[in-house]
Formats: sequence, structure tokens, C-alpha cells
Amino acid sequence: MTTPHPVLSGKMLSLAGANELKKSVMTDIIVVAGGVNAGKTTLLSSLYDQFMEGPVGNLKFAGTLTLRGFEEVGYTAKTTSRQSSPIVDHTDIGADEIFLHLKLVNTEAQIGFKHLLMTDWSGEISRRVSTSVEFARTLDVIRSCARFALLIDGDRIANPDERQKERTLALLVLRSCLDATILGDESNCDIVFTKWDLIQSGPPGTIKLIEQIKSDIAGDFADRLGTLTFHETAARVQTVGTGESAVDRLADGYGLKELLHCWVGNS
Amino acid sequence: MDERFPGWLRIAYASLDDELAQRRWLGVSSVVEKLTPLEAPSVALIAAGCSPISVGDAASRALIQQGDDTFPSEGADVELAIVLGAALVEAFQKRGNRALDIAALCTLNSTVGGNFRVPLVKPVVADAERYLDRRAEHLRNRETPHRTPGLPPEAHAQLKKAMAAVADSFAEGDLPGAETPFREVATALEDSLVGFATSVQVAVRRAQRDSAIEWEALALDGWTRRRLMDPFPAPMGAAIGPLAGVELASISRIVPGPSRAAQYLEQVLGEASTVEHTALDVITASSDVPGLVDARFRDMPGPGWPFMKAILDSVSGSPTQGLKSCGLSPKRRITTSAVALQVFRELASLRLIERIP
Repeated sequence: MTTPHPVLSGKMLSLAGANELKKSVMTDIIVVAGGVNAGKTTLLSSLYDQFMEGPVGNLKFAGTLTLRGFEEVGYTAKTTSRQSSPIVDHTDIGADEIFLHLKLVNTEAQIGFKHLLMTDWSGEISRRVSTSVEFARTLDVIRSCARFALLIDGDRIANPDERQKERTLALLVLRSCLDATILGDESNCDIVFTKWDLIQSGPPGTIKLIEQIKSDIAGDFADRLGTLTFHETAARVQTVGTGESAVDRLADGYGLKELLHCWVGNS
Repeated sequence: MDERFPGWLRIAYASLDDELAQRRWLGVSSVVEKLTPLEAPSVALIAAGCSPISVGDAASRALIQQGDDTFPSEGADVELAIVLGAALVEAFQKRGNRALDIAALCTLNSTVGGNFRVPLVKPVVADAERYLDRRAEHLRNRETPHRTPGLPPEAHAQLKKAMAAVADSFAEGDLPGAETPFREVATALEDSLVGFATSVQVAVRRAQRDSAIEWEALALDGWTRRRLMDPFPAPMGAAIGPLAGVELASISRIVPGPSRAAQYLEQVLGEASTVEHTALDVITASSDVPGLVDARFRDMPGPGWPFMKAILDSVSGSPTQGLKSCGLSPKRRITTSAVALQVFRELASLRLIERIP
């Protein structure tokens, strides 16, 4: 039995498949990084779900080469999202097929199709990057990416016992990538605070901490990067509280439209 | 290898190794070395991001493959644009020739108003602009206007044959001792004839060149003075830009054009130069002006000659459709002086292509 062409199987694309696509059509790679359980898979899955409901802003879904891939991450995200314990890595660290593809069209401007390849990388990879510049250097895809999105887990930031570890992880990942020169002064970096609903409902001082983290990251890295932007997202809002709390006012997919437009517009 | 090349190639790769970059650079070098006027338009248009199939990509791929036989014969359109773009950036740094004149003009033609389709186009466009400026200066200031072939080849061969026959007859006849001195005299005579013919040709060509430069300078001066006194009539509206471009092209004697062409156009257009029109307005206004409808553009690929081709096409069809087939958005806004420069360049590049044997 012949192996189906990676581009046509509908599964997530391997590096070879990503190369084939990029060689043929203008395609931007978005590397989505972050610690274990930071919400990478959920974010990617939610993006796809948003398009299934209609256009996102002025962007309309125009197809995907990884339909099965999105179904698989959607299943994973829905069955494991917001599990309180144990913290598990949803994505296999050794996975070869890591790219999800979206073909989008701008409904307002005649600028043709926009192809995005987004990585669904294991959180373990980010942890290893944070501890080894040598390991970071092997992640050549980051050199080719149009945007590097580093997710910071809002759940852990809201937890006083975990927040410093999460903050440190983000700083170390960025430092390691810059020291390995896989990111540099032409790189576009997005710092994405996930599970914003949990940050909002976190203990007093959580929002202030977010501002401190933004300030630390900007102070340490803004000069070494091309662009640095911050985003707040809540891909799947946890139903907590009753009635009038700020948490309930956030809708699923909060902040994803802005993030996506940033990826499409500037990448 | 240009140190920027691996970064450019990454536009077409999620991951890239040095070996592949080196191999692709051999393809780049092959294009730089072997590019001829015949392939120049398609190489430039593909590098500018036009669809390879629509402008014909077989010759471009063959050029690359002469240096890198692993380069694909079909598909990989983005990679093709990157390799050709890198080749043009490299070639524009070198001494000029007609192929590069055509490539530079076609690059600028197809990227009018910042119509950049692939990220590498920006540096290619900047280098094409600089190349044309340098080239305009060089063509007007070079010491020797053309290569100097000496005697016409046929006459030279006949002379050599006749001299050899006389020398042979000396050797075979009654005066064998005269053969060597005769050959020496014959060689000296031949050399001086060649030298004389060369000097005459250089002098004639230099005089022709000088005369063309002088004529062009006077004509440009006269044109700017005339247009200052008698500006383009305002009712011509958006057609003023193309008209100015056509007038400058008719004055220009040394292709690819005079240095400071843009400044001449701005001077001639005066206040109108900064007025913006949509591409659609320009084409619609121009399709009624007989001097602007030029049938020579009928067979040219639209993306390389967007304005002149769209003006021609709009006579028999819709201006919007004509513009779209040339890869230009009807809504794109562009100043009158930019349109004028564009039309001037489209005409200059056509002139160069028409000279290809």
C-alpha cells in the first residue's frame, strides 16, 4: 500500500510537507511555544472552531490541508482542556507531524489568499529550550518563522505557587532562543497570556503581576527583537462564578481575533 | 555567497541546511553568468512574484539548472522567485549589459506603486533603481562607446588570404629571400590597417554617441521649457501621466533612459506631478488618447507592461479586466509623475526587447 502524500492525507504536516507547501505558495510559519498545558493545542483548535462559525473579523476560512489534524487537536483539546490535575503534555514531544495549515482570505482587500502553518509543539520542547541553548539551536523552524508566539499559562500565573516558575520559563525560553540566534532583531514575537478568564478571577495582584511580566520581557528583550507584542486570550472560557462576575463576561475565543489579525497582517 | 541568501531562501523553507543553500547559490550564479536579453523579461517578472506559468518559466529554470541540476523543473514557484530575485540582486551589482537593462526595467514595471508580491522584491527593486541610475551615467560617460571590431571580418579575411598568396608565390618563385621581409611588411600593414579602421570606427561611434547625448540634452531642455510655457491641458486629467511618459520616451536616445528621468518628469508636470489617481482612472482616461494606444504591446505579458498593455486592452474590453490581467488593482492609487515614469520605462523596455535579434 502506498503512503499518502503528506500534503494530501489531511493529517498535520511534517517538516517535509511544510517545505513542499512553502516552496510552492507564500506561507507564513507561526511557531506556537509555551510550557506544558499552557494552552497551545486549545488555542489552535479554537482558532479553527471560530472559522467554522463564520469569518473572524475580515478573515474568512478558505480551506485547510490538515483537516484531520484540526479534528485530532480539537478532540485532544476538548477532552483534556482545563484539567486541574495531573498536568499532562497533550502533544507528543517526538511527533514529526506538527504543522496545522490554514488558508484564509481577506474579505475587504484584494490581496489573495494567506497561508499559515502553525506548529503544535509539545510543551516539553519549550522546557528543554529554556535549559539548553544547544537544543534551541536545533529548532531551525524558528529561524524561518514569521511570528514566534510564546504562550504564558494564565492558570499558573493566577496560582501563587506556580507563577514565578511560569514567568521564569518564559524569560528563559526567549533568552535561549536569542542566544541561539534562532530569534533576532528581525523576528516578530507575540507574548500570549492564555486563560485570561482565570487571570481575571485570580487572587489580588495577579493583573499587577502581568504588567510586571510585560515590563520584564520588554526591558530584557524588546531591543533584541524586531517586534514584541502582548496579547490576552481565553480560547475556552471555564464556567465559574455566577452571573455578574467578570469571568462570565468573556466569551470563548476571547482575544483570538486580534491575535490572528496580528499574525496575518504583519507576518 | 551573499550572506543574505540563506535568509531569503528561508522564505521558501520551513527548515534549511547549508548544503541546500550552497547548491541553490550555484543556480543563482548560473543565472548571473548566463542571463541573456531573451530570458531577461521572464526572469525579472518571476522574481517580482508574477505567476511563472503565465510568463513562461522553462528558460529561467533551465538557467538555474545549469548550475544546480537538483532544482525542480516544475512547481516550487516561491523558491523559483527567490532564486531568480537573488540572481538579479547579485547581477545588478556587476557591470551592466542589455540583459540587465531589460531585467531592471521589467522588475520596476511589474512592481509599480509598491505592488510587491513576494518579500524579496523590495531589495530587488531598490537594486534595479540603483542599477539604472549607474547605467545611465555609464552609457553617457564611458570611454569607448562600443566594442571595436577593427576591419570588417570578411574584408580582413580576404586581405589575409591575398597577403598569404603573395608571400607563398615569393617562396615558390624566383625571390625566396623576399618572402620573410614581405611577411613582416604584410603583418605591419595589416596591423596598421586594423588600427586605422578601429580608430575611425571609435571616432565615428564616439561622435554618434556624443551627438546623441547632445541632441538628447538639448531636446530634454527644450521639452521642459516648452512644457513650462505650455503645460498639459488640465482636462486631460489622469491621462497626463502617460502622455508625459510617452513624450520623454520619444526624446530619450540612449536606452534605458537619461539619468534623472524622474526629475525631468516632475519638472515638466509641475503641480500635476503629485496629484494621485487610481489605476482605473488612468487607464479609462488614456484609452481615448490615440498616442497612448500602442499595438506593439499586444503580445507582451501584462504584468511586465501593466499600463500600456491595460490601455491597449481597454480599447477592446473593460479597463478593470485589463488591469486585473496585468496584476494591477484598479483601486491602486498612484501619482501622476509615478505613472509617467512607469510609462516611460515600459516604452524603454519594449525598445530594448525589439532590438533582440
